[in-house]
Amino acid sequence: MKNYTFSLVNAIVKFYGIPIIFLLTSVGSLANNTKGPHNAATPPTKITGKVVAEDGSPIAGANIVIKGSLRGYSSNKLGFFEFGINDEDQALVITAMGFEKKEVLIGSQTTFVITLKPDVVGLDDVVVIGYGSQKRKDVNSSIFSIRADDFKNLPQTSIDQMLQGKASGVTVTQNSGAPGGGVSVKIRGISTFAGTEPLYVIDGVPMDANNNKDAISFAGDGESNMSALSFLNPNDILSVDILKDASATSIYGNRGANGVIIVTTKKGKAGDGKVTFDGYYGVSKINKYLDLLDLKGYAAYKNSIADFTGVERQPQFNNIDKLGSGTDWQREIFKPANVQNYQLALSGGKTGVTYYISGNYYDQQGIVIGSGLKRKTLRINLDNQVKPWLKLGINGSYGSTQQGITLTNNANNGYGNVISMAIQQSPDVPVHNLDGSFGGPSDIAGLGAMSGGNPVAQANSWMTELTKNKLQSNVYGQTTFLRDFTFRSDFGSDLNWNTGDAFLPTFAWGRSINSLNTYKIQNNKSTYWNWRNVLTWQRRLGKHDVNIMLGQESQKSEWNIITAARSKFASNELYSLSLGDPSTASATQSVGRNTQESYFGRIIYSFDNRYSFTANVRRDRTSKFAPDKQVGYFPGLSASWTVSNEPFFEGLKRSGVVDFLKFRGGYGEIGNQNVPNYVYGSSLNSVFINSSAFGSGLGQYISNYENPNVTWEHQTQTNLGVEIGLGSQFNITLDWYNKISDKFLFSATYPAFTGIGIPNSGTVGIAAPYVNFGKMQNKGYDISIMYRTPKSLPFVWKSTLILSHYENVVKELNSQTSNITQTLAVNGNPPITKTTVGQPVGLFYGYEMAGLFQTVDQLYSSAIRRNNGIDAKTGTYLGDIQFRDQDKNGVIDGDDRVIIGNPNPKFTYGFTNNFSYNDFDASVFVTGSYGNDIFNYTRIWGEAMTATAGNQMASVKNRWTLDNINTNMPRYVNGDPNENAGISNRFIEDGSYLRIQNITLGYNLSTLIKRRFSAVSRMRLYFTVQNLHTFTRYSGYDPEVGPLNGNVFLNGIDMGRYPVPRTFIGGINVEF
Amino acid sequence: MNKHIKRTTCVLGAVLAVSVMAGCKKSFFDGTPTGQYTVDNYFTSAAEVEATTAALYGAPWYNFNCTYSMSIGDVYSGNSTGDANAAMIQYQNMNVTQSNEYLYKGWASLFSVVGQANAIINNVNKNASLLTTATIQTALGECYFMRAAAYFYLVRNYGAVPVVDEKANFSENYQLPRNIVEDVYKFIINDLQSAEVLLPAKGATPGRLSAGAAKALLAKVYLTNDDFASAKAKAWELISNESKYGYGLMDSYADLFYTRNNNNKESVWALQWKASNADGAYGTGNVTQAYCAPYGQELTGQSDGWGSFKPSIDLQRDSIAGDLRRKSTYMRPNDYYSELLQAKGGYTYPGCKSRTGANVKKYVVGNFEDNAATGGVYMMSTGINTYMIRYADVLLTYVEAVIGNNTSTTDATAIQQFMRIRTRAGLGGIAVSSISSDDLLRERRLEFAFEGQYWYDILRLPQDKAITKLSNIERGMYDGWCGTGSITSNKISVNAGMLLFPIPQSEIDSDPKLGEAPVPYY
Repeated sequence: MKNYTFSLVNAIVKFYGIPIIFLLTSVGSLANNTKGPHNAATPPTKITGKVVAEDGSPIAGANIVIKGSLRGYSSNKLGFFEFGINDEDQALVITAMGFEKKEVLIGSQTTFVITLKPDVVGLDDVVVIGYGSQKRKDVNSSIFSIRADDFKNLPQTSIDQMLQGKASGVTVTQNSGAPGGGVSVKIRGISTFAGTEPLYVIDGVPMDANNNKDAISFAGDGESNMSALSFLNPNDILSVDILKDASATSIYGNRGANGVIIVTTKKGKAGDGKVTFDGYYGVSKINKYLDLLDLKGYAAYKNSIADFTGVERQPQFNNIDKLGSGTDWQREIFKPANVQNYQLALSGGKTGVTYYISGNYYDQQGIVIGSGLKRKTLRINLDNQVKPWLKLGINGSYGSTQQGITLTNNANNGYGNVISMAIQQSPDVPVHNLDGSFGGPSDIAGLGAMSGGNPVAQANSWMTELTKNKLQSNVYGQTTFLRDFTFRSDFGSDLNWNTGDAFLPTFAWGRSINSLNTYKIQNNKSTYWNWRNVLTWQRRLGKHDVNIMLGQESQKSEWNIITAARSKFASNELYSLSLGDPSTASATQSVGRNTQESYFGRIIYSFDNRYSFTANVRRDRTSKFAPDKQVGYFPGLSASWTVSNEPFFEGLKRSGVVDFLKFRGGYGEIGNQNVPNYVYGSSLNSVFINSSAFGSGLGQYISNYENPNVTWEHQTQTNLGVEIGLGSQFNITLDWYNKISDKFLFSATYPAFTGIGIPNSGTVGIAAPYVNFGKMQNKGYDISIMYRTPKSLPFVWKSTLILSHYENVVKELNSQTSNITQTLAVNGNPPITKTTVGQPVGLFYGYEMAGLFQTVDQLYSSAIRRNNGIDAKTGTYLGDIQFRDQDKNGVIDGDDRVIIGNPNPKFTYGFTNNFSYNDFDASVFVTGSYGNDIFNYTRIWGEAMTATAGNQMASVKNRWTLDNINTNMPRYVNGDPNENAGISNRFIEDGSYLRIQNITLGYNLSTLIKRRFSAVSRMRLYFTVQNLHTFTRYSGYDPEVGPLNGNVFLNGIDMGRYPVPRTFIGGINVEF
Repeated sequence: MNKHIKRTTCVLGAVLAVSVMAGCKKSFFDGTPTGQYTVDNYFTSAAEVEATTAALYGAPWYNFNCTYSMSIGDVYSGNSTGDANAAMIQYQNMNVTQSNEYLYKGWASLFSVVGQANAIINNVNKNASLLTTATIQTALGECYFMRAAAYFYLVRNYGAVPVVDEKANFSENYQLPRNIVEDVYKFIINDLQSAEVLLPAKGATPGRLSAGAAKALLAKVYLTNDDFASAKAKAWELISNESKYGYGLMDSYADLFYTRNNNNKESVWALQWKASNADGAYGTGNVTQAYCAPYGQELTGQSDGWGSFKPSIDLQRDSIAGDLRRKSTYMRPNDYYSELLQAKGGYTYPGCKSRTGANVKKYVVGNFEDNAATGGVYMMSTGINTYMIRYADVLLTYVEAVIGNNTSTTDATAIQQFMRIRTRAGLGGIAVSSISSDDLLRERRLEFAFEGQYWYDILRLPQDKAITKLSNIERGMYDGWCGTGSITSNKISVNAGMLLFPIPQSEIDSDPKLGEAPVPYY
């Protein structure tokens, strides 16, 4: 016993808890002191009593305080109390955790039986904060809470998508409309150069949401990022609390820098069991096609470029009138798709045990053929009050998803992915030959084999599948002792088995031939565990509320990825590694781990529901950094003043205009350690070498520059907020923040001559070191306005309007360069964005178009591209773009590039409206973004007019020719000597949009049904349209374009993003 | 205090103690990777050192070999047309912009060779006591050679470039200026002279660099700097000691381009490739076939074979009747190749595949089955080595050094070496009494077409001669799809500025000093 206590105290003292311990003990002794002094003249009257719950069971540890004094006593484990009172004592105030406060007049009574009612705290009143919860009115930080009701009708795969437009300060973009596709969630702007995704905490178990590229494929890697949260069944979620400012997130220390999203799943409630069934079925369709040339248009285009380049016209295009419309590749790859979702849940509880058990089956086809997601989940949440002082519980979920991935969007190189291929493949290539087999390009028709050939065939027969299995659980034990202490130990784990499968079949689609089939499989096993121990001391003393928490947490994450492949299978139908030619076998493995341990403490003190103060600190030690750089400290402070609880406010309150007013302020420091392992040292990577010459077949190369000094990324954030309640109908929350991030953990943007090779291209190079540099500020405000009709009205309208605005400014960069330019990874050159000090991150960067060259005079008198002559074929000529000579040096070169666009929105918004009247309910949800630019890269393919093969957009019909000079569409020219299709503001478009995200109509049949089926307690039918319409001037598929592969420097670049479909859904909720 | 509180405290203490202990162990926070080596625990045996130098022979050169070498060496110089995409067309039209994708990739590839070489030089001595002197010396020699070779390409293509040596510490400063051309050459020669001493006369295993390779490269560097005497002497060291260095000509020209003949006696230095489609193998195979095999995927059996590079009309006009090299260099209609599509009894080039009437044969090795014995062939990945220096090149270097500043030579030894090349090409019957510099250039063109050499051969001409030569090259194609009909001529009027390539824009963006005047290195 002694030893254990010693190690406990030792541990606490060692880990920075000294000031907190001091406070704890002093407050504790203060509390104890109140027990003593009653040296009044008259001897006290002895009173005895018992505190019980409604069912008669004793309540231990209830506080019995004499009203108007600081004297307090508590009940023993049988609920009994006994003490002396003075004559002037009028009443007792009894409080106990989980019960409502009660006042009892003393009078002449000396024996009391005090029955306490359970404290039914409405869900809306409790906010989950890190390692604990708090009543909403006591919260000092900026926390946005969303309840299950707010997203019940959204037919989305995962919770991250559902947050879009629902929470102020949170910017959600779906990087892909593919089922389970990547989602980017940014809380309050861009706080870091590395991953910007927030930390998710699911029933206490933290989980990084970095969308992982778990899938492997044969078509380049494209944007195959998948949402990390797609395993979680949204129907199981009770609430989502979003910790936005640092005073709240600093309790998560190194992982709190991007904000924290706490997800709490449903629990059973004491009482009769409930069985609920939810189901829906729907159809999705693309709602916009790009306007591409059809066969006639294509033939005319081809003829005119043949004339231009001086080659023979292709004979099949001699008579355009006789041609049909050809293949419409977009309509071949985008097909209506079904979505269905079924969920059965049981919940209830008896004598100390509550349970929630649910099962879900979800099946969503993608609108691009071949894509889709199936999910099965099972969840069991159990809580058990074993003893009055001991509670045990487990939350566990198993999720399995299976995704068919037709690599679709954002292929770096513009080909090999289904959507970009559909844009670029020409209409003279047939989908099917006459014999029913897949068609393909021929020597004279269509884009070369380099571009893949037949997108329909590829989507149908190149198998790319991702199967994820996830077992997430949290087991806890909680004990209350010494009246006010609670100790809780949680063991959380997250086990993942993911399998990526890819099969490249043999095929012959026209000239596109493959005679070597290959099967590749990647098994990714990862385990994570996390052990948290939290000691809480909570006490209310008259008007003083004190809550002190001390905690410790250890965590470890390990992974093991094995990839194996074989080729030469006898058939395309049956493939398994053992059926491939053994001489083609290959296997690779990648393992890794990281660990962390943390200590943290927090004090929350409130006085009289008027003033509240929170202070916390966390110490993290991580294996990510060199031994002497592993430790970081992250403090947070916040306070609030609820003005409306002041006596002087009574008048205003009574007038009914303002009935709640609270000011909040907070400050916190947080960190970020989001870097690969071992960047502090230099390691070697394996590379295949020619074994016939070198024996082993394996070489080693130095893979990175080391930086032993690399350490925590750092962030401070100040938050000021006000909450206003107007006449119980309006609730307005305004938050202003100033977030300064510095010492970014970032791989420096070295020039290639330092030996870095071509970053991200998978080729040999010494990766630039991770360094801590730079500084960035995000200032902004979040507004939410909630309205509900007065409770007296039969018609209910609940409405939430949220508005988020951030202003991102880079304050410092590396001392060497005042800018970071970013290139689309594989294309190598040229940069598409530039980040400079004094400007937001990732601005589009390129040439500015001044118009077209219309006259020879203009050609000779204007600046043209360096080294270019005035020449129709190899230089600049009439119909080319005249770029602005920004530096007026008479020639167009790299120095003439300027900032040409900003992907950051001026603000984003969401407007949710829920209506109900008798048995009818309806909701309308609108969301949007204003003031952001998009770089429409699909037009670089579609309007390039630089190569002889491949389809173009219909807009090229209006290109400059001698007969059509009144246009801003440049001419056709082989090889693009003037770089008409280079990076310029020609392709920048306004990305503002307003989207009717969801409209739902529901009807509650309960009263009708109940008469006939008494077992049914509730039944509701509803109809939903998701993504009904988008108002925008953007010409691409969808203006909602997120960052490419999560890269903050490549935000808002549309490379044929998988469009989000319009979905019609009919559903039913039944409760027994 | 009652019992259960004591018990609770016990449990709580125990739980916390165990959890804290788990975290307190020092090893718990050790971030050293377990699945890969680190430079701190590596370089402890010859095998480990050799694995790092082995990596210098292939992957870092991937992007150099992929499109850069041939775009400059053959397309820009007029041996080949390259019209696969906008980047390639810029080489064909001799208007390569700073934003050209291939230009950047080649630059980055060459500097990644430099970076790897520097990293090995810095680390190979870490555990010197565990290694033999020979191991360390050979490794250093290979690094110096590779670094020099990369710089030799860089200085010829870009002129002044930053000299990055093993002492560069980029954590403090990554913005270097360019260094003047003379100093870059001095750096190259120093490295090669070191390599010449450090490397063994013959490579320990086939394919490994030797002192002979260092001498061969040094001879070419001297030649490029018009130091004809030194060039001649270096080349002669090899020619007069063929058995010592193990060099000689292959008997048949065609044999040079079979994968099974990798690292033959004529292969002085070659990039070593490994055909594979395994995960992580990207960049370790030879990709040339993908760009060269005729349009259509018949030959490769995979999604490659794009016919991007095609023998120019100009090159075909320069051919000599009876030259045996022609068929191994490029395909004309009805050419038959028994080694391709063996399962179908060989391949006959049908024509109508190219608007220049021909397609490249060199480095085209066929499909998986054709290469089953040598490791197969995969999409964009074959196992045939890329010749960087052939012994034939050493012979012609000797001849060129003998001609020197003159316009021709009648030197008997030079003619003898020249005739060795000609005889193998089946042209031994044509008597040669004197070799003019034009004869030599044409010979080199025919011998090394599609080996990335011709551009640098032209550059060694006096500048006015080079410009005239380049301006007269026919870069056009036939109107018709079968290499028939009239030719849409495309001749470029060349100026001196076009003899160097611009430094990639993105490099100047991250290091503006590259835009300034070059400074001395020494």
